Amino acid sequence: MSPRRGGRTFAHGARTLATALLLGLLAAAAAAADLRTTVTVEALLTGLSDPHRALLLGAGGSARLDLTATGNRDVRGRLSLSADLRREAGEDAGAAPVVDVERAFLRARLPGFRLTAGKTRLAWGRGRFFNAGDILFGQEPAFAAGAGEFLTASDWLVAAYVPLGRLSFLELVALPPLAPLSSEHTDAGGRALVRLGELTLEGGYLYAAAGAATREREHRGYLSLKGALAGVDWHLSGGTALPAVRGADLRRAAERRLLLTGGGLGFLDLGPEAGVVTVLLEAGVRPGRAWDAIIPAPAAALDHYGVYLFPELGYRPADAWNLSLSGVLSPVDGSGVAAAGASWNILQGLTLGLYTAVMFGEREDTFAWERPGAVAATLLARYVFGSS
Amino acid sequence: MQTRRCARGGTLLSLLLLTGAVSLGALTGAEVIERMERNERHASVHSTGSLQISDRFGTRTKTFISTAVGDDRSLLEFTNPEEAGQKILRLDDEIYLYFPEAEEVIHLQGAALRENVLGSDFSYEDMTGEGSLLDDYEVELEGSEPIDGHDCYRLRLTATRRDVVYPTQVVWIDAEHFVTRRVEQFSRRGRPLKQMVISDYREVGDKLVPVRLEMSDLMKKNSRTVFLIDTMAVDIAVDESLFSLEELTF
Repeated sequence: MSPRRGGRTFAHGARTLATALLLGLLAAAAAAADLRTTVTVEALLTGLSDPHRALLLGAGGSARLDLTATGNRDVRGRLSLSADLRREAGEDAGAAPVVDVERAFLRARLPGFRLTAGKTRLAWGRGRFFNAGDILFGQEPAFAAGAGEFLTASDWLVAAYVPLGRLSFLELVALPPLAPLSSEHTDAGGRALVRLGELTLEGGYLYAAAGAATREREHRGYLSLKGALAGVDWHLSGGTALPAVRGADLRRAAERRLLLTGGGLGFLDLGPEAGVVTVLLEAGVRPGRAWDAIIPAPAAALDHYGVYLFPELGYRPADAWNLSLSGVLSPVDGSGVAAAGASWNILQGLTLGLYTAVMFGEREDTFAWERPGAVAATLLARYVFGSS
Repeated sequence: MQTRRCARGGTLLSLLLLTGAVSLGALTGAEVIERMERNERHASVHSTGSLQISDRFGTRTKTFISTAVGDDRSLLEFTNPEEAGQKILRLDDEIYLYFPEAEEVIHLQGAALRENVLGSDFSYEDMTGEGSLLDDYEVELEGSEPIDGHDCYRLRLTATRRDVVYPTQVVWIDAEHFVTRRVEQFSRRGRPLKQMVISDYREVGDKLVPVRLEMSDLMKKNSRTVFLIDTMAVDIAVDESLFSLEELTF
């Protein structure tokens, strides 16, 4: 048996096993009482500009099954599976759908603490788009018009949450590798969140891999402060990383990795007849990065220059309507992407949406008008149904 | 959920749990409010119900489970598929929202409290407010009127501060059972904003509990929200740890 043939057999066996496991899980779930089932089906049509052709069109969709156990107040389990059938406009029509386990975890209250184990997300730090406290996943934000959330990464982890009163807590976390299990390659750390009067102070630490393709380790840490002033909900965070290597230039490394983020969320009250406009402005600042646009920027990379901005306006002209205007600006090279969106919850569970985005900037800027996809529009229909 | 009294200037969602009877005209306006508020509060309440939001395209239903203690602590969880797991925690003057998809907690304050909850005709402040009406309004007893065949006191409430959401309210309170039958709310310029009609009550213990409220936002055409209570238990033992970030994010 050739290695190639053997690999195919193994892959086929693994798929069969995974399918059987999945069917077993779904059958058990369907038979279980106290189970909340939510199915989300999304269909979309996307159009992108292309420098060489007038327009690229693509259609696709996604589906997600979400199962949550609700029967026991002290134990909760959740399984969320998704199949993404969408393809980027112009992509090979034969591209396979992407199946993902988005969430698979249990959560239980034990004496003195709460245990979470499985694949999930822990939202460390503050920020809708820029968040220096997100050291667990180290996720670089990526802008997508119409995205409800931007920082959504999840991973397999074990966490212990220790409540310290109503609004404060301590959380310890370990992210072991799935296989082979190794303490040497396990990321571990913790955070504490405390209320100090009107302020919320949060700090965290993680001992983690310095990168996906390296065996080197690093110490990550952050501090975050949140409060309210004159009707504006604000947050400030700072985070950096130091190499866990003897003899390393720690100061230089800390400066290089330093990320400061902050933002303010306010509300423009247009009166009881007109409603409220939400106004959000966030900034991500990296003092150790480039502050001149001399060096060309990688496309859409948001860690190249010293500062980026994320503004967002939201408005509901009627109960079932949502309008938004948002974008990312790169002040150093004067480029950006602006997006406008409208969604309409027309019937129970059914939402229609139209989202458009336009880049502006020169060829070697972070965002560029001449780049493929510089102008994009997406028409979306989403239907959510299930049992509660 | 909304058996609690509403925010300063908020709707009178929970002006509704009243007992006793007096002869019409024997009380001043403030005394009617006091009598109503003396009777409306529960030490605790656990309920399930729904919001039925209607416009010209149809009706959308949001179901919920809610627990509240006193005037300042409540936790509400939506259970309908579209918003399953979203929660609203009220602690004193603060409101926290939890979105399970992002595992994110949002702290609401200021004008944000006036935003409508999930596209309904109720604002966050309507649904979770606190404080006595007498702290925020001057009350004038305008007379009596029958509402759906029930003799009612007609009260005009005028805000004593500018930051009150509804500068003027007119409230009809049943003179026999001291339950609110109707509320109309006006802007500073006297423009009608919202109207609430309570059309059904249920006896829970020795109290009369509203179980069907209909709210109309008069700024919108063909918009109304029916608030229905399916089950309710009052004055029950409640674990105080329910009102915490730990429970919110569980």
